[in-house]
Amino acid sequence: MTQEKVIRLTVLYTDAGCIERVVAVFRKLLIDVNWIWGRRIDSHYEMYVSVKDHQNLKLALLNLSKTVGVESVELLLDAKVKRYVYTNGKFEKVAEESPANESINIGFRQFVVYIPVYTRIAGYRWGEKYGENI
Amino acid sequence: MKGADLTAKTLKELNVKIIFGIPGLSNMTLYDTLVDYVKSGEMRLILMRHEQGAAHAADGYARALGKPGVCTATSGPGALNLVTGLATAYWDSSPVVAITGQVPRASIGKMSFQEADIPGVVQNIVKFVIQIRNVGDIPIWLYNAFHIAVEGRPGPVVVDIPRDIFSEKVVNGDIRFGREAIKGFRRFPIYADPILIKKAVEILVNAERPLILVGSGAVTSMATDEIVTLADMLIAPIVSTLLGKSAVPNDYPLYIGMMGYYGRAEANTAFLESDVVLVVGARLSDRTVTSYKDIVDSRKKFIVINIDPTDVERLPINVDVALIGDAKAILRKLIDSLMSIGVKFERSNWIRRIYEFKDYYSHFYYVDEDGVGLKPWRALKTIRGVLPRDAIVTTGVGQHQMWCGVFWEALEPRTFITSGGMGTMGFGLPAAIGAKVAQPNRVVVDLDGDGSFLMTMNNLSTAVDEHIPIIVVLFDNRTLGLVRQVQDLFFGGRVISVDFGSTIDYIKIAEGLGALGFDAQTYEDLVVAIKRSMRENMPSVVRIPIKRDELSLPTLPPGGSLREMILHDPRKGD
Repeated sequence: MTQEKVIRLTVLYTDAGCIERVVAVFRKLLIDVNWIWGRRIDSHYEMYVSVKDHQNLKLALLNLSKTVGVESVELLLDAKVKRYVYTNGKFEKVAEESPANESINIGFRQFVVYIPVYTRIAGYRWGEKYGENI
Repeated sequence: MKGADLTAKTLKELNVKIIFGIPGLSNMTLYDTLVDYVKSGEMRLILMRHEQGAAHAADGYARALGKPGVCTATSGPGALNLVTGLATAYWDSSPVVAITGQVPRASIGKMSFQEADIPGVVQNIVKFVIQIRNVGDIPIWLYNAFHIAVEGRPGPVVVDIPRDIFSEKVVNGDIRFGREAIKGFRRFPIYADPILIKKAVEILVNAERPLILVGSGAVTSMATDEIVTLADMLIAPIVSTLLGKSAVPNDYPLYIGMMGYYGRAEANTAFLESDVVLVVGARLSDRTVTSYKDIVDSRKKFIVINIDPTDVERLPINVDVALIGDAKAILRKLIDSLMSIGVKFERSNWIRRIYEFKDYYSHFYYVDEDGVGLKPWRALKTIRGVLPRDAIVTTGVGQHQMWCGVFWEALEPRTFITSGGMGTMGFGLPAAIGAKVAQPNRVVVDLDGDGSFLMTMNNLSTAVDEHIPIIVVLFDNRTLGLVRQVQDLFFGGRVISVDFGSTIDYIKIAEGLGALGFDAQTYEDLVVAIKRSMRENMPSVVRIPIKRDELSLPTLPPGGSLREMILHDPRKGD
């Protein structure tokens, strides 16, 4: 996962299409998505998206930053993704080299979460930059 | 009050006077409500013959007027037919608002009759789409739609309304009115402080071969006076993109022409030889700058004015100064700054060189009077000579469009309307209808190709019924000329699936639809036909014969650089 990039977005929740709109930006620029985590909080949707590093990534972030409904888009710099597996009522950190959580967990009481740990952000919001440069 | 009444009332508040569209099951309640508005003369509903035409007409209206054009369609096939027109508007930054009917909420997602997931279909080809879920939300989303359509880089917005909402009774207390801030949508920032302006001016002052490149943003901003003033002050020639042609009068002495893939050779050469380029409202698309390597190699400096900062950020070239904001306002700052310096420029060598380019390349353009058909350049010059200065021209897409790009003289802002980014055949005629409705006192001419015309010509019947006197000049070469040209030149002459038969009679088609039809076999015929069309004030089709293998030149080989321009017919050898 050394080429992994994690993006945090805050999106206006009009309907579930707000998630499609975000993902489509990556699809249109041929960027693969590794995982998505999101939740709705009243009228907003908070999303974390992990993508493979790609030559079009900057363009995707720029396009997202001017997509109607997207309030902010932030690239988490130096993001290290920690993997945890929730099994039998408790979380366990999974070693990076472990294949334990790389299978589809059908039939198991197991839930894999990815937690990005980062130091800085590069943010865009309708043409305004904040944090560091992408 | 029902949802349809609330929709109509809000549209009236938004000053909507024209709606292009076709009624059907899912927008019928809205049409029913609008009967009263039509009877009182507050609104006009224009029945198009296909929804694609409705979207293009709204687009033409918007581009001619600078205000949103509105179209409507019923659910399913009706709304789906809008799609090409909406994408066309998006690619060319045109503010269109589409109101689509949808099946009732209880039927959505169940493969109901005439159901299509319009938000899902259009969300990647419009600026924004919203499906109304509550009747009380109609006003706020219509207000938002019009705001989003025009703010920043303009674009199309779709409001999808289930038909049970049109019929639902509105409880006043539930209505969300207003212009409350739209979450997730902001005005772009303005970055044009005195330091940036000073830096830009320094670069312009020190330039030896400055050039101004104007795009559609300059037209949207109505920055003609500022561009011309700045060009005069700097003694800087001007080139344009296809969509930027009407940003400056094309007979202005410092205007060289459209640059790009099918651009004028002298415009491309001037771009390549310049040392500083001031880009005004152009995004430097792959149609204008076909190879960024040309830019990198030349080490020229770039000052870019754009309303959208991300458009500058995404450029794969080094931008020396990015000025973000409305083109007109920023150009005014540059002019004021230059005036305060009071520098007089001596650039006679550069201007002389520009005129040498013009003279040299004109030998390639104005030739080949072989007696077969009319020559596009001469036909366009003839038409220009007959039309008033403020006449609006639309085009389809194909060779005729490229001939217009090279040879048509647009003389006033918003008078050259064409599908640039999407290259949508069939755009010209319905866009002309929209433009004529927007500017009824102007002459509006669709300079079209036969291939393009055939795609949306059914809308000529709308022009007849609605008394919208547009003139279609048909460059009839009985082929899909631009595709044929590429097959002929770059696919070893393996011409296939492009030629039409000789049986189509465009005069009879025009007359059959209730319009006037003229067959102009000579340039004199052309003058007579257009003058008569203007005098009769009726929709007209003027067909002019063009040689089937006539080429659009200059051109480039596929994927080629501006340095590889093909100037004369390569089939004839050197």
